[in-house]
This record gives sequence, C-alpha cells and structure tokens, in this order.
Amino acid sequence: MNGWTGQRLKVYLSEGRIVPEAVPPELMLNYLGGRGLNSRTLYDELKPGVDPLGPENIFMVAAGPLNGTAAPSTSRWTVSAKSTVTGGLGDGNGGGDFATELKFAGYDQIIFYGKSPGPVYLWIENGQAALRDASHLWGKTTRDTTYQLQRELKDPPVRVLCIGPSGENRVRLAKVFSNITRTGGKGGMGAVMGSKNLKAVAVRGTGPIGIARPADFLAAVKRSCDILKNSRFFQMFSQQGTMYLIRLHGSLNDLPVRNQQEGHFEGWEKIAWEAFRDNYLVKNKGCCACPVACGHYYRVKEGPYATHGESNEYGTTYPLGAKCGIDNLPALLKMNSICDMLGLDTHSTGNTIAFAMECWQRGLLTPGDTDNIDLSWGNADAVIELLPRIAYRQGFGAILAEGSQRASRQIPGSEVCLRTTKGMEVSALFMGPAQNVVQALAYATATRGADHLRGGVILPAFGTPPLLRAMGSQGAMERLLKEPRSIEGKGVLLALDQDFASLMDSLQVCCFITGGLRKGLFPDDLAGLFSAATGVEMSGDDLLQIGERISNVEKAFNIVHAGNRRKDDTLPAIFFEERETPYGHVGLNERDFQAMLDEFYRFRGWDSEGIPTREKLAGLGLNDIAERLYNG
Amino acid sequence: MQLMEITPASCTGCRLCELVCSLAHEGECSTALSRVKILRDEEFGHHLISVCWQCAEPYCVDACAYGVLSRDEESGVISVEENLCTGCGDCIAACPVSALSLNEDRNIVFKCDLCGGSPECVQVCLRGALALKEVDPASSGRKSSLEEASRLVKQYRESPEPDERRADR
Repeated sequence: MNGWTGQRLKVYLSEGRIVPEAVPPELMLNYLGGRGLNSRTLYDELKPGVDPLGPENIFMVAAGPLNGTAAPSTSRWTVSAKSTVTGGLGDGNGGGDFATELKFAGYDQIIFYGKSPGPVYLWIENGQAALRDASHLWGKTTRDTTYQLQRELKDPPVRVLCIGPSGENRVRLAKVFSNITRTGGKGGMGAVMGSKNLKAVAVRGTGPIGIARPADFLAAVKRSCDILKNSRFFQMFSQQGTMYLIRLHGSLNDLPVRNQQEGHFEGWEKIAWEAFRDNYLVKNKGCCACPVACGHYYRVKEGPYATHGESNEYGTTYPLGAKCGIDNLPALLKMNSICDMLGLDTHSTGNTIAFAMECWQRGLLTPGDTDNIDLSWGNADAVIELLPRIAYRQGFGAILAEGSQRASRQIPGSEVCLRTTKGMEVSALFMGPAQNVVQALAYATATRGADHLRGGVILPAFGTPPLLRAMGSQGAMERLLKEPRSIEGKGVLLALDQDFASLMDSLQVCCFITGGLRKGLFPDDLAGLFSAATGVEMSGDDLLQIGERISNVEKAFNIVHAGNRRKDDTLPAIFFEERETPYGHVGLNERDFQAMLDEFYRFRGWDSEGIPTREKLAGLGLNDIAERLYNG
Repeated sequence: MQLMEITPASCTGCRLCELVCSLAHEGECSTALSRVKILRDEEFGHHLISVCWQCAEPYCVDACAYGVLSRDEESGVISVEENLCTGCGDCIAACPVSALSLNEDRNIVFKCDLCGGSPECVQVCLRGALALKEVDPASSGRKSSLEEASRLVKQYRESPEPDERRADR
C-alpha cells in the first residue's frame, strides 16, 4: 500500500530496547492512522487500573496515511496515552513538520513502554533509531531543546517533538510540542512523556512517500486547493486564524467571561484580531502542506510584556483572557510565549487559573494561600507570575499544577467554581442566547473529557450527504443552524460531527479545511485524495464509518478504564442555570439537554447509559469489544 | 519571458510547493526531490525560498565541463541533459541561490524546469510567494534581486539558526 510507510517502532524505555515491526494491515485499513491507530492500540494494550503517570502507561505518537503527501493541510500528529486528567482516553493533535518528517524517515507510529532510568531522547534518521542521553536537555525550554538538538545533530531541518519543564515535572497541564510552538496533548500528555524520562523525539528523513496514482492525486490536490480558495471561510481563516472567533462571540455576548459566570466581556475588542493585526502581527505561519496558514508570528516590541512567538490562538485569548477577565493583549501574548516555552497548555492552564480566580472572588482563597499573589479578575501580572510556579510546582503553583479538578480537593468549598466534565475543563463554552445547543452536547460527550475539537464547535458534518440523509431534507438540516436553541436533530448532527472529527484526526487532516458550511472538504473529497494516494478504494461513507468505529473504540476505552456512564456525559451545573440577563436568556434547560443526549445515544446505537449495543459493535466489526463489555 | 518570481515576505513556510513539485516530477512526494526548497524559520518567520532564477548569464551552465546544462533562448529555461550528467556537483556549488540538487539514487542533477511553462507549485501557492511573471532576466532589477537572494542564502549557509535581525529570505 502507498501513503503509509507500514512500519512502526516499539521502544521499551526501561530496557533501552527498540523493536521495529510492520503495522498490521488490518489496523491501517480499519483505523487509518494517527488518532485511530493510537486509540485502538491503547485499547488493546493497556490494562485497567494503570496509573497514568506510572511506567505501565504507554505513550504513542502517530502519523497518518496522508502525512508527507501533497494533500493540503496534512501536517498533523497525534500523541496518545491514558489521560492524567480524566483517567480515560488522553490524546492531542498538533501540527508543524514532525509527522511529515517521521514518515520521510520511514515510520507511521512510535509506541513507548516503561520508564527510562534517566533522561533520554529518541533519535530517528532514515530507518535507524537510537535512544540517547538527554541529561543536558533536562530543564530546557521547548525552544532551547529544539535548537540544542538541531545543533548537536548538525542538521537544522531535523524536527523535534519535545516537552518543556512542566512536562518533566509531571504537571497535568503539560502538552507536547513540535516546531517549538505547535502543540497537542490535553490531559497531560506532556506529563506522561516526563514520567517516562522521555524528553524528546528528534527525526530526520529524506525518503519519499509513494503515491498509487500520481496524476489523479495531483488533480485531486489542485481541486482541493480550488475548493478552499473559493470558500469565504478560507479567506477569513487564512488571515485571522482562530482569532476570528473573538469578534463573533464578543459581539454576541457569548464569551466565557470570568470563569463562565458571564457572557458579556467589556474589553473584547482589545483582544480581537484587529488589535492583534494592527500592533503585533509579523506574518502568517503555515504548518506543513497547509495553504490555510492560520498561525501567526507576533512580536511585542517593548514594555513590560516585550516578547515574540507564534500561535496566539483563541486557545490563548479565551482561557487566559476572557475566562480570567484579562483584556490586555500584549500581556496575553507574553503568557502565550511563556506557556509555549515551559510546555504548558494555554487552555487547561488558563482554565485552572480562572477557577482559582473565582475561588478568590468567593473568598475561598486568600493571600495566605496564594503566596500573596492577588488573584483578582483581570490581574495579568498575577497570571504571568503564576505560570512558572505552576511549571516548576512551586508554592501555590504546585496545587494548580494538578489541574482544577484535583486542585479543588485542596480548597474547601471550591467545587462550585469547577467547570469540568470528566475532570477536564470546559474551555470556551458559554450558553448565551445565540449559542447553538449542539456545542453543549459536544463538550458533554467528547471522548477525552470536555473538548472543543470533537464536533459541535466547527460543525464539520454540516452539509455533508450523511447528515442530509439523516435529517430527511435540506430545510430540516438548515434548521439545525438557523434555530440554535432547538434541540431536534442536534444529537444526530453531533454524532456525525464526532465521527468526522475522528476521521480527520486519523487521516491527519487539519479540521480547519474540512466540512461544515461548505467551508472546506467533505468526506468524498477526502476519499478522493486518500484513494489516489494509497490505492485503497474507499468512499466518503466508508471513511465516515471508520470515524464511527474509532468513536466507539474510544467510548469503550472510557467505559473499561474510567467507568464512564451517562452521568459522566454532562456539564457543570452553571450551564443549566437558566436566567435573564441584560444580554438575553442565558443557560440551557436540563430537560432539553437530556433529550438531546437521548437522541444522540439512540442515533449512535448506544443504550440509555451510553454503552454501545452488541449490534452496533458487531456492525462495526468490533465483536471483541462487545465480548469484553458484555461478558467481561 | 515568463519566469518565476519569489516573494519571501509572503511565504508562510508551508512547503506544499515542495510536495507538489516532487509529485509532478517524480510521481512521489518527497521534499528531498523537490526543485523548490523552503527552509523554515520557526521562530521569526524569515523563510528561505530556494529555486532556480533561470539566469540570463547562468553560473551553472558556465561551471559544467560536460555541456550538461543549457539555456533555451526562447523560454529562458535552463535544462539538464540527464544522459550526459556525471553527478560531479560543480553546477550545484556554482549556483548562488542553491537551486540545484543531486538525486543521489540516480547520481544526476535536477532543477526547476518551470513545468513546461505552467509551474505546479505556483498553482498551489495561495499566498503568491511563488508567481510566474513576465520579466527580463537580463534587466538590472532582476540582477540586483538575485544578488540580494544570493547574499541571504550565503548568510543562511554560514549561520542557519534563526535570527530576528534578518530580513525575509
């Protein structure tokens, strides 16, 4: 088969042993790669009851069949392990060049077992791999680690996947980084790497990726670029990236302000795209093969927040900005740079600090608890002071380093300040009057805990043939958007959305070029690219079924490892508190939510507790999972 | 004549051009086999674009002792006569913008041929960092741009690590 390399590495860190092997073809055909390949491997290999930060957890990084090809926006890599936050599935999806280079070097997946006796990094060069001492890298930032490895390997294009100091210190807010600032790994994937004494993976590859039908593939690539170029969404997104959301939600009073207590943020324009563009933008940055190039290099030239960096996303300006009541854009850029260098997730970190700020507001935390740091809303300097304390687990920072759910156990009465689902913070949701209720369902049911990237938010399935078929008519489908507060059909939309997201993360296509509102590629377009590249003929429906299979495997993982049931597919109480505000009716009716959840389970073929039925699992070729769920 | 013009300030470093180039020429995707090369600057965005300028007075043609390289007067394109190439690398060393590469498996040099007049890379560069333009390769403007590009390539070779003081390359 073309596209895939068909090879993977099993790295036994405790013994320092590396075993190359072929990826079983049925895994490639049924799970594609990336997230799907990792999730199935995790389900197969991990025993229940494993400590996520212990040596029995496994850590994986995987590419997909389209990484390294010219299919647009196929830069993504997926890191996976048991989550240090939810105890269920943990993974993350990042961009840059790492996955491309891994493919060029000859591998689709790396699986790390055990724990190295001392700090190491894995060096891969064109089919050769070795573990090397990383004592000299331990303690270094993501930037310094990357440059140091490029220097000593004497090859600047060497690509580095690494953790910062926060990952080394097993901070549950730590992510994994490539290309210095491209990141993925909610649920503390960086902490899992750190727990294994694995500082980095450095890779250099010069091999080609075989293409089954080159002329057809080139034509499909150009057709994809044309679809993108002519989409209005692309035109906005290729300039503003995720920053376009601030104007959208700010003007609708739908921002998650002061830990989601309010939706109106008086200072939203100060942190919106226009303010960024006029003062701090250097230029756009593209991940490998991506014509969208939604990232941005930025620079704050002078003053207390002087900094430079990349990727100021909504993932910075919502959790660290609106959620903490901060409208100081240069300070937010400084925080973004600090998080990137220390290896912290801006989402979870911002959310955890917002939780602490609400504790402060309610008098549950006082200066004596916080090392005299004033946690008043909007205090940007306090956040900047806290970030290194979290990364190095110093003082009050050590409490926050555990994430809000665990921090709450040490702050009596603070449960009311939590905004978590399955232990994971609900990052950007506010149930304002214009908010589509499907987003609430998405955060409640995502497989890695509250999540903005698994359906609901970007609505990848909207407009696709399967959704149209399920809804029965164009009009019925359009009502899903035109009537954001109506509940009918939302469970169907979300199920298909989630399966599409599973598919994208497994082909390793960025979600910003796919589906939703015809802003990008639909499953059939992806099938055209996939079939021409690999020579494996599949339709869009076939690919979506793979997405559904992956969604079900992940659900099964969460049932087996985290005991997930219906009660876990929910939201914090504040989202169900209906109230009138100067900006309209806020909150979601809980009965409406439960009705949506019923529809979602029904459409999925899951029972009322959210457990996949035997029939559903059999239909997806998952009889082994049915056996385990029903016969132990 | 219609030749390639590069605008590094518009380059986002995505390298889709490299993957499409090798796909069109070699039938597989490989940045190592691409005729256009992007060297990314992760930190400041000063990416380097390395591709043949199709010089009016080409250094590579002068450097080749075997007459492998020649310039077509009408199209302006400099092409490689693969049968004659010994893979000695003299042309690669002579090029001021590092636009020629060696195919190590076949031991021959390869370079941009403008895809016969409609470069595939230009079609997928939605930012316009690569563009096909009507230019006079012998004009003084083109020559001074080439000198500037050459200076930046040299600077990169000597010190590849990102430096915020640099200009776009």
